[in-house]
Amino acid sequence: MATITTSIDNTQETPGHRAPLVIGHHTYGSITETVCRVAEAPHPPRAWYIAFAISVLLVLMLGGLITHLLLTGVGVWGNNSPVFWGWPIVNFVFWVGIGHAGTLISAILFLFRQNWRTSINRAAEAMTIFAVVCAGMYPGIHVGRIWLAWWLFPLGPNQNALWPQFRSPLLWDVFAVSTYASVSAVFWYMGMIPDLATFRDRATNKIKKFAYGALSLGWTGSARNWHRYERAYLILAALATPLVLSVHTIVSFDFAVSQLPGWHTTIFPPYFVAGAVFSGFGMVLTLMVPARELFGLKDLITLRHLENMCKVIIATGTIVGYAYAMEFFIAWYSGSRYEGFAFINRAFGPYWWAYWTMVTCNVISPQLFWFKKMRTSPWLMFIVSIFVNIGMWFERFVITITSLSRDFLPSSWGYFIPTWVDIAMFVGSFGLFFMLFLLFCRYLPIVAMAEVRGVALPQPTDGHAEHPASH
Amino acid sequence: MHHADAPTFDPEVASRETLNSFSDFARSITWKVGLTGLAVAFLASLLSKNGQVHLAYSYLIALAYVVSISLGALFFVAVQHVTRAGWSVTVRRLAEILAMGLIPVAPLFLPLVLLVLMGSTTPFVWANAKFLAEHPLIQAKTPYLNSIFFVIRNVIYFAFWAWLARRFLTLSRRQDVTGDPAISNQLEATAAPSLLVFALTLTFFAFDWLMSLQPEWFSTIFGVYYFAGGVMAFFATVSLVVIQFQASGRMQGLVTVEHRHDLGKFLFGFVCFWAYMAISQYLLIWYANIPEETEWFSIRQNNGWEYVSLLLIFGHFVLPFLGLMSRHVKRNVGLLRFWTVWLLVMHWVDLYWLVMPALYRETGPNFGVVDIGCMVGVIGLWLAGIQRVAGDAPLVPLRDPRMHESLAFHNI
Amino acid sequence: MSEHSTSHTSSTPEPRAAAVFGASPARVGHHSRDGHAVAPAPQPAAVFAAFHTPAELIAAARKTREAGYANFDAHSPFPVHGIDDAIGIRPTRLPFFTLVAACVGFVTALAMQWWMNGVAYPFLISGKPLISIPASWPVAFELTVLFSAFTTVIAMILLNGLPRFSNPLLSDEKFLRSTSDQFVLSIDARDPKFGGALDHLRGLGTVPETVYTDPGSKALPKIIPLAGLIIVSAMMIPPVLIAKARVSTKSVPRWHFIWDMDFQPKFKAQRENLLFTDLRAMRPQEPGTVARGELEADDAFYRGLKSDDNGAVEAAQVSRQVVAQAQPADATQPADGAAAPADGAAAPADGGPPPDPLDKLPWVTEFPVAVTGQLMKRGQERYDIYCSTCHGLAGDGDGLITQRAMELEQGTWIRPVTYHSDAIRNQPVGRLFNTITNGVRKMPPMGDVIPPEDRWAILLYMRALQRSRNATPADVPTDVLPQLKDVPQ
Repeated sequence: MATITTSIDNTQETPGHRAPLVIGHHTYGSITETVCRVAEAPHPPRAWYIAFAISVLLVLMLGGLITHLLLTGVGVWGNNSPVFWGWPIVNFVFWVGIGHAGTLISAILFLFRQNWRTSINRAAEAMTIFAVVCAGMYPGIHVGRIWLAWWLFPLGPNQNALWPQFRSPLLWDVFAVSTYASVSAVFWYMGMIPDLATFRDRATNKIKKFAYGALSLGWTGSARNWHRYERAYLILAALATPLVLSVHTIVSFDFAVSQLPGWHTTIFPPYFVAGAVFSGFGMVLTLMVPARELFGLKDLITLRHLENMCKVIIATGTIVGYAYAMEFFIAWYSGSRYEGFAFINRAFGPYWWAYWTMVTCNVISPQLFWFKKMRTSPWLMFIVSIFVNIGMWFERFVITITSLSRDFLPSSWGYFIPTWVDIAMFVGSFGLFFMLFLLFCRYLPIVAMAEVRGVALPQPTDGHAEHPASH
Repeated sequence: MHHADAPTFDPEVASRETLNSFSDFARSITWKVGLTGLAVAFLASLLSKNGQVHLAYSYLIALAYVVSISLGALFFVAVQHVTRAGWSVTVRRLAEILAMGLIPVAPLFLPLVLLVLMGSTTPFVWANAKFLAEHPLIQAKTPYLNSIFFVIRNVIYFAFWAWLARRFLTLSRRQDVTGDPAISNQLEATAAPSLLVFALTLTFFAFDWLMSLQPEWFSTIFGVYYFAGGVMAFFATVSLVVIQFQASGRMQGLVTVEHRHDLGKFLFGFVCFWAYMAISQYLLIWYANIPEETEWFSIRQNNGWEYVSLLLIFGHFVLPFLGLMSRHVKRNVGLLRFWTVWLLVMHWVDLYWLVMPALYRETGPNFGVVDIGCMVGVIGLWLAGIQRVAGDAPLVPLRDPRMHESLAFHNI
Repeated sequence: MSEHSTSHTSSTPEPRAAAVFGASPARVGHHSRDGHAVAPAPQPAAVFAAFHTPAELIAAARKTREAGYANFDAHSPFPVHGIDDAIGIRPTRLPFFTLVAACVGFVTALAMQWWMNGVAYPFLISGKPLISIPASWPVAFELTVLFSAFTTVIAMILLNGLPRFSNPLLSDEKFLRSTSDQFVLSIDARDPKFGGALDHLRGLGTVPETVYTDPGSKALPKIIPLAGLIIVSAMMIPPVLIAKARVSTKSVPRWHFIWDMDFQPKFKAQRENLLFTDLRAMRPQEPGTVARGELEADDAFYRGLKSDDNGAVEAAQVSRQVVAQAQPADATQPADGAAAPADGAAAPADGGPPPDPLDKLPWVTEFPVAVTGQLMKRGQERYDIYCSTCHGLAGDGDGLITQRAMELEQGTWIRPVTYHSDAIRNQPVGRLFNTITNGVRKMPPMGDVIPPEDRWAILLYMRALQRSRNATPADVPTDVLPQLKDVPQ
C-alpha cells in the first residue's frame, strides 16, 4: 500500500517532458487501495465526525427555519420594498454558481484532454450536485406556498387551465436549473458505475455488497461495455458543455432582460458564466485542500492539481475583472444617466463596503496566484479560495441589492437589512452542503479510480500514443 | 496502429519549407492582386454618387476582417503557450505567421485615420465637429470619442500587437536553432499577462472601429462578439491553409488528420461561441426593449437588412453547426475545406452586417464591385505583407520540445 | 443485451440465481463442490484467465480472435485502448439514439411552448408576441439536452445488457480483481469452440479458471417481495387520503396550519368596513365618473332609445331619469307617483290604462345590431337559459316556475304576460329592451345579468316566437312546408 512518502515536485515541468499526474510510485492496485481506504476504513477520521456533527446541527436549524418560514410567510426575510429580491436570490445565484465547477471539470476539461481532471472530477461533480441542491431550495421556499411549487412546471392534468409563462426568464431558469441538476446527477452516477463495481467487489459485509451491487448494475468492466461507456461519456461531455454554459447564462437573464440599471447589460451571460466557474473552482479548492490531507489522497490530488486549479481561478477571476471594467466603461459611454448613477452608486453609495469587498476578493486576491509560491502552498491557496467564495457571494449581493435599492425614482429608494432568518438560513445551507459532501466522502468513491488508472498513471507496457514520455 | 502513421521528422528538411520557398509567381501575385483590387475598388467608387463614402466603409470591413484573423492567430498562439499544449505544435507556426499580419496591416489604416483627423463624417460621425454640435448625447462621449485620443489608442493597440506577434515568432524561431526548452517557459511567461492586455486592446479596437460607427449605441459584449467571430475565422483560415499547403505537397506528414480533426473541433466550437455571443446580445436587447439599444437591431431588421440577418443566423450558425457536427466531416479534407471557405465568407457577411447598416439605414444592403475590390485588395496586401515580414520562417517549429507529442498526437 | 437475452435459451438447462448482488464466492464455490442434494449439478458458464498489463490483454484477445473464438470478452479496470480492434468490436449505435432524442426534445419543447402559450393559454406579457422564437430557445435548448443526455445514459446501460444482477463470473474471487488491478479474458460457454477454451488459455501462458452456473434456487429472496409490498402499500397512503378527503364532508371547521395566510388583515367584498360612514367595504363608483370602457354612449345599443330624435344628450338624460324612477316603483304605477292612484292595484276599469310615461320615449324600432342567423341561435340559447323558466319555451307565460307558483295559489305571483298579445307585439323593440334591462312588475331587472348583445339576441328570438303565431304558409320555406300538419291547404 502506497503511502505519502515521496516529495516529488510535479509542479515543475521541463517542456517536452510531462510531469507525472500521480506521484508516489502508484500501481493500479495501490490506486484502488488508496481510494477505497477512505470508504472502507472502519471509522472515518475524527475531524469527519466533528464536521458532520456541526453540519447536521446546521441542517436541523435550517429545517426549523424553513418550517418557521412556511408557517409565517416570506415576510420573515428582509425582503421588502424596494428590495424584493433579497438574500434568497443572492444565495440561490451563489450556490448555482458554485455548482458549475464540477461539470466544467468533467465535461469541458475532458474535451480539452486535460487528464489532470481525473483526480478531482468526482469530488467536484458531487460538490456540484450538492450546491445545486442548496440553490434549488431557495426558489422553492421563496414561492411561499411550497406545495404549489409544481405550478412552475408544465404538468398535467391541468385543472386550472393555466400554463407556465414561457416568455419569462424565471421559467427558463426552472428548466435550466432542473435540467442541469438532473443531467449532472446522471453524469456523476454514470461516471461512478465502474468505481461502484470496485467497491462491490471489495465489499466485506452483506449490506455493502447489496447496496454497491445494486448501484453498479452488474458492471464487469467488459470491453464491449467500456466501448459504449466511453462513447456515452464523450457524448455527455459534449452535451454538458453547452448545458453548463447555458445555466448561468439563463440565471444572468433573470437580471439582464430587465430594464433596471446595473442589471441590463449585454455582457452578463459570459460574465456570469466566468464568475460561476471562478466561484466553483474556489469551492473545489476549499474542499480539496483539507480533503486530501484528511483522507490521505495527496498522491492522487497533487500540488500540480491544486496549481492548475489556481490557474483556472486567476483566469476566470481576471475575466470577471474584465467584465466589471466593461460595465463601468459602458455605463459612462452609454450616456444614460441612470446607468452611470447605478455604477457610481455601487462604488461610492451606501453599499460601497460590499462593492469594494467584491473587487478585493474577486479581482485582486486571485492576482496573488501570479506567484508560484502562492500556487503551490495549499494552505495559502485555501485562504485565497475562501476569499473567492466571499467575493462571489458579495458580487451577487452587489448586483441584486444595489440596483434594487436605488432605481429610477429617488422617492422609492431604501436600504436593505437582512433579518436573522436570512443569515441563519444561509449558514444552514452550508450545513446542508457540507453534510451531503461528508456523506459522499464516506460512502462513495471520492476519486474516479477507473479514470485515474487509465489516463493519469504512466503505462509503461501499454506504450500508448497519449503518453509522450514513452516515446 | 497509431504508430504506423507517426512520421519521422527531420528538422533539416522541414526548415527548407517557408513562404519564400513558394514559386516566384505565387510570391509576386499577392502584391499585384492586392494593388489591383484596391485600384478597381477606387475606380468603381468614382462611378457612383456616394461611391467614396461606400469605399471607406467597405475598406474598413476588409481591414477589420484581416485584423480579426490575425488577432485570432495571436490569441491561439498565446493560449497554446499558456496551456503548454502539445498537440498543436505542428500548426502553431502557421498561427505565428498569420499573427505577424498585424504589422503590415497597420499602415493600411492610415487613410481612415486621416479621415478621422480631417473631421470627416465618413466613416465616423463623431469625428465631425458640426455633427457633434447638433448631437449633445454623442458630444458627451467626446472625452473618449475624439480624434487625438483615437489615434493614440490605436498606436498603442498596434504597437502592442506587433510587439507580441514579433516576440512569439522571434523566440520560437530562436528555439528552431537551439531547441532550448527554457524558451518554451519564456514564451509561457510572456503569453499569460499578454492575454490580459490582448483582451483589453481587442475590445477597444472593436469599440473604436466598429461600435462607434453608430456612436449612440452601446453593448458591453461587443468586444467579445468581434473576438468570437475573429477566432472562428482564424480556425477556418488555418485549416484552409493546412489543407491547401498539403494539397500542394507541403507539410507532408507533419499535420495529420488528427490535427485537422482538432482544428475542425475548434472551428465548430467557435461557430457555437459566436452564436452564443450573438444571441446573448440580441436576446437581452430584444427583451428589454429600450429604444436607444433596439434602434441598432431595428436598422438591421428592416429595409432589406433582415435578409442579411437571416443569412447570418443560418449561414453563420445553423448550417455550419449541423454540417460540422459529425466526426466524419472534420476528418474529411474536402468537406472541411468547404466549410472553412463557407465560414470565411460568412465572417465577411458578419462584418458587413456590423458596418454597412450604419451607412445605409434606410436604403438596405448595397453590394458591388467596390466591396469585392476592397476585400481582394486588402487580403492581397495582407498576405504580401505576411510574406515580407515572416516569409523566411519555416512552416513548423523545428525543435520545439513538445514536437514529438504533436507528431504522435492521436484523438480519443 | 443479446448476451443477456440468449442466456435463457442456452443449452444449459440449469437455472441461475436470480439475484446475486456482488460476489459470494464462498457460497457458490461450496455448493458446486459438495454437490448439493436438491440443486442440479452446475454446468460451466465460462472460463477466464487473468493478465497483469493492458498490453498482454490486447495480445491475448487478438490471439483468441485469431483462434476462431467469437463469444469472448475482455474485462479491465479501465478502458483499454486498442482492445476494440483486437476483439473486433464494431462502433456502437449509441450516437444515433442521442441524435433522435435531441430532435425529439427540440421539437417537443417548441410544440409545448407553441401550444401552451400560443393556443391553450394565450397570455400577453410585456408586449412580447404570444409565440416568440427568441424567448423560446432557452427552454428548447434545455429540453434538447435533457432528452439526449438521459437517452444516452439509458441507451448505454441497456445496450450493455445492464442492469444484470446475475453473472457467474462475479462468483469467482479471482475475477473480482478485474475491477481493480487485473485484466481478464473470458470465454463464454456458449461459444462453439468452448471445449478447447481451457487449453487455449493455457496456451497463452496463464492459469485459467472455470466458473459455473449458480445451481441455487431461482426464487427471489423473501426480502424483495416483502420490501416491494411495504413500499407499494406506503405509496398508496397519500392517494387514499386524498381520495377520502375529496368525498367526505365535515361539519367542523378545517384545520388552519397557516393562520396569517388564512386570516389576512384585509377587507373583503360585501363585508363591513368601519372606515366609511356607510360601513361598506366595497366602494361605489364616485358620482360624475365613468369607469374605463363603461361610457356606453350608444343610446340605441345600450338603452334602446333613438338618440338622434331629440339629440343624444337629451335622450340619454331622459332614459336615465326613467330608469331611476322606474327602479323602485312598480311599473303599473305612473312614473310621476303624485298623479297615480294611491292603491296602485290594477288599472281603473273605466278610463282604460293610465298613460305610461315610457310610451312617450323615442324607442328604437329597428335592431341596432346586425341581424344574423348566428344572433338568432344565440338568442334562442340565452332565452332558454334566462327567460323560459317563467315565460315558457314559446313565450306563453307558462314556464315551469309559473306553473308551480300557480299551483301553490299563494297570490303573490303575477303571471307573466304572453308575448303573443297585440300589446306586446306592437311594442317597439327598444321598449322591450328596456323591459329586459330594468324589469317590469314582478320581473326583475336582467341588465346586470345579461350583456346588451345578448339582450338584443333574446329580443330577436322573441320576435321570431311572435312571428311564428302569425305566420302564413308563405313565410315557411317550401322544403319544410310538407312537414307541417295543420297548414290550411
